[in-house]
Amino acid sequence: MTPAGSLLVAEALHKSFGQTHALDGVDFSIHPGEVVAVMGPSGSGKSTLLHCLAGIVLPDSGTVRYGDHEVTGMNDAQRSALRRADFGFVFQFGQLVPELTCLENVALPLRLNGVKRKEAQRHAREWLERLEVEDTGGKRPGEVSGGQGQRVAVARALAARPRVIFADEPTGALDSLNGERVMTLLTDAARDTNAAVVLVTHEARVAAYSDREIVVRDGKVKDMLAGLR
Amino acid sequence: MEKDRRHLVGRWCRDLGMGVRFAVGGGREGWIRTALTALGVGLGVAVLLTAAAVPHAVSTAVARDQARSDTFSPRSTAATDRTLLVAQTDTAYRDRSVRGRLVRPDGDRPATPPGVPRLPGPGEMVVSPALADLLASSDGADLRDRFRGVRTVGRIGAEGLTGPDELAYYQGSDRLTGVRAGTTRITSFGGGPEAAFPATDPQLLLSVLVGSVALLVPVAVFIAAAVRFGGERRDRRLAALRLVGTDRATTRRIAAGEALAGALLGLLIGAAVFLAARYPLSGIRVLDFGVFPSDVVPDWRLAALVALAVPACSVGVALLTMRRITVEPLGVTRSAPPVRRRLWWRLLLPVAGAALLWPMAVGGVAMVGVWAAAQVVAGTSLLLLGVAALLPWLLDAVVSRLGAGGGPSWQLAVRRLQLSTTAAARSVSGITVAVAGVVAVQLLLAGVQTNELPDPLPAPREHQMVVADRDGELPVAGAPGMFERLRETRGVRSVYGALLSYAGPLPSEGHRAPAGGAPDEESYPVRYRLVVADCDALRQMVRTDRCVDGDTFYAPPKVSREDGTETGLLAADAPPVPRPGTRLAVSPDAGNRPAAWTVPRTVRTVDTLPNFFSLHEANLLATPGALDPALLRSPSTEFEVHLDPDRPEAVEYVRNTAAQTDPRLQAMPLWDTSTRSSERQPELYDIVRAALQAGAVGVLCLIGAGLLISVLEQLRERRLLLSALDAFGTPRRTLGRSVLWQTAIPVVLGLALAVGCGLSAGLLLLHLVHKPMLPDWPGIAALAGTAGAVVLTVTALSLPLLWRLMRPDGLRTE
Repeated sequence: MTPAGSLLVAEALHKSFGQTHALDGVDFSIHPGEVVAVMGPSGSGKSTLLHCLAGIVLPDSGTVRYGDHEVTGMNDAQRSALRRADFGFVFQFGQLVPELTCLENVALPLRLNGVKRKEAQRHAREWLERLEVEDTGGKRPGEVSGGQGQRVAVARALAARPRVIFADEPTGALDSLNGERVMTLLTDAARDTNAAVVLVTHEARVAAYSDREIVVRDGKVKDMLAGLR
Repeated sequence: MEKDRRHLVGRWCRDLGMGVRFAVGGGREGWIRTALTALGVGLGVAVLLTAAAVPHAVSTAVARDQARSDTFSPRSTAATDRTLLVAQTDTAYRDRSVRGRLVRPDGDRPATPPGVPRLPGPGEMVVSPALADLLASSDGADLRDRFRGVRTVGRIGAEGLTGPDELAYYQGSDRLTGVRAGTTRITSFGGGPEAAFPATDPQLLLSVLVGSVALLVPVAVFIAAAVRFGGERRDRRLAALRLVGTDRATTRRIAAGEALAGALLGLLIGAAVFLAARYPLSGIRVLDFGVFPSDVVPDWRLAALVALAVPACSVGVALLTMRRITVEPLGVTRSAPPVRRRLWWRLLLPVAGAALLWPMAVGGVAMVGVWAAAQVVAGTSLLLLGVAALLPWLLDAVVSRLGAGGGPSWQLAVRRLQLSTTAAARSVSGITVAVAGVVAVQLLLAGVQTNELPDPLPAPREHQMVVADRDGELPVAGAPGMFERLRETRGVRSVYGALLSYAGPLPSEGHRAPAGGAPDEESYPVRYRLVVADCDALRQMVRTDRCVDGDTFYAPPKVSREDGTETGLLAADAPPVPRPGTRLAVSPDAGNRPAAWTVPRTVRTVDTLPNFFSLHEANLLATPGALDPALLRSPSTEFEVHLDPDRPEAVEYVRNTAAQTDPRLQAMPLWDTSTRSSERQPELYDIVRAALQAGAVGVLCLIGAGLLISVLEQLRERRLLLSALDAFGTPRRTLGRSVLWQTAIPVVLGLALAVGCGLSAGLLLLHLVHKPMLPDWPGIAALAGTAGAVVLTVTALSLPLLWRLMRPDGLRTE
């Protein structure tokens, strides 16, 4: 079943690593502005699902459709271009480029999209302000705290105004206070820009920021609201 | 006290041993690190062992060459059972030299050269294995004609050759009839002056010393860098050791032990690489000078020094590096914040080096003896190490001013370098030292050679050859036949020939000719070069608008100038202009009663044209109608041969025609400047220059290997980040270009510094030998090009790993 108005839809995804079935017939969909939490224990396949949805890896079978595009039918260069233009990413440890300043890190996706340096940095500065880390602009990632770094990573993910944000354990390396602040800022900003958020987490309090939760276990997905619909 | 010392030594041994055990038994991570260090150290050790083997290889090759020499052999005027006549018939085939000798024993028990148990008889020859192979192959088809009618009866043994690939032969001949200008009678082979390499020539010694320092210092720098390969992984392991209670001093010693393991393994790898490389190395010929693999043996003292110094160096470098690192139980911190690099102490090294060399440069102190050599080596080493010390400061100073305004790839590279230039400087310093040293030595060699040996020859001529019988072996009667044969040779367009001899005052006018041999200037202070040729040939030699058979010309000698642009007779020694009607003796040195010839009344004074006929003296040029060639006694014959540009093999056909007429005829292309210069310049300079260039390329490749390992290690450390960059759509080419910029920026800066410092050092060294400066720009450009190629190769070779690391596997954290 493909819910009407979905932005990103996956059907019957299968992905194996050797003998391990990471995804075993997974269906998934998300609407614009929706926040969906993907939960599950370690090794359940939730990160693999995120990678397949984002076109980082191709499933063994099944399709991923983004708007009118079939992501699974694209070549590597097309998928890279799609990720550059329409997707944003937040990882557990931020994965900021250590040699660039925080401002340059946030501006990087824009620059990869061909935006001029000054224009990119102006946008980046706005996002840093919005994420309440404007004072980190001239610093390198190694010179800021973990919480600040993760907010910079969120700013980087949002800077290019993506239509889908993929967040893989975005608060996994933060204390609860910082984690909650980061989640508030991320989900607020996403809703403001009508971006969909695929949030991979194993923490219930992080999943609480989502509109909907699905659980991945042994490569299969269970939609927690399915029974209520 | 004694107990404390024993305790300290024991603790060191225990900790170093523990480090060694960690290195070899530390699982995959430990093995990777040890293998990286061992590989780097091994490559460096192989180069050092090769360098240590060079003196023995060269001296053995020189000894082999001397043992077969007939140049300085004891001579005899009388034929005996032991004597033989020998004539040099060296030739060339394509770009390779062929050593040749004609031999004719006087008796039954002639002396034989090394490697030849029996001299070949007439129509026979013995050849080197390489020449035999070439003659038997399709490649040697054009060479076989040169030996038409000569039967190969044996091989020259290894003891009679300088290298396994040498082309050489001894041919028996009954044409050798007695001692003449090109034929000598010897009683044995060998002899000659003691090998002069390199002690008696201070300029050459200086070049060799500086060249060795220039090539070996980067190897030492490289080995020091190799000890740090995989340092990041090791540091994480040391943090774990601190967590279980090891103190800082112990962790440093354990780290040194790990480096020691890599260095020891590297010694073994280096020895194995050296042994394996001896065979391919012996195949490399420098100026036709090769060596047998068995001759490539390192001096045992130098080998022992390498075996001791490399492990000691690894321990020292590891301890020194660890002083700047704080290993804590929860991780490793560098001695942050990064300190601003100071310039003043970095200048001390080159200043100290210059201070050591300066007194020798300006004081006119002779560079003689061990101390002087040590002073030069120390001064040069300090100068070159100064370059390595200046590089990090220069990198910091320049990189910090570079804007990040270019594309993302430029921004990533510049920012990466701004974060830390240490790794970049460490990798590039070797290139910098090598290039600076080689630039200095090339400058020195260019200055020495150019000043001493001005080239009086005109510019090389494409598609022209000269065939000459400069020893008068070809009978005058044979000259027309030779002329015809050359003209009919495939690929020949035109031939100009001339007979050359001398003319001087008649003996009755107060001068007697010597009994034989070359003209004696003491006996004949007034002497003219006599050239007999037709008008076509004369027009190739002199500037004249009209010439008919019966004409005679006088071309005054060129006079030497102070700047060496022309050579010839000094003005004071030039003979007077021959007056018409003057009676001269023709070929006065060829025996008694030379023919008399009267200078015609129509003689005209003309200028000579630049050409390859022997026209360096005062010349009388006559057409056959003015001077009957039959009057000349044993004239030398020269032919200028113009070839068809579309027949590149014509040169071999001409050589074959000449050899079939008489192997003693010289046939030389006029466009081959190396052949021309080698006739005039000491070969040792060329060997040093060529060895230096080959060594520089080798060292640059070695450093390239180090650079590659360093780049790959950095990429592996950034695996997670690269995957993340790929995730948000960073194109591969952006990251590929970033690696290129990251490698190229330090190398370009290093090269600029190296060329600047190399030229300065070269200038100083030229002062030592009082020579003018003449930079070898093509050589510098070639080195810069090689370094550029190293950068591109390193980048290209790192791309596969980069692509692999950009896969999503790196994002997995569970």
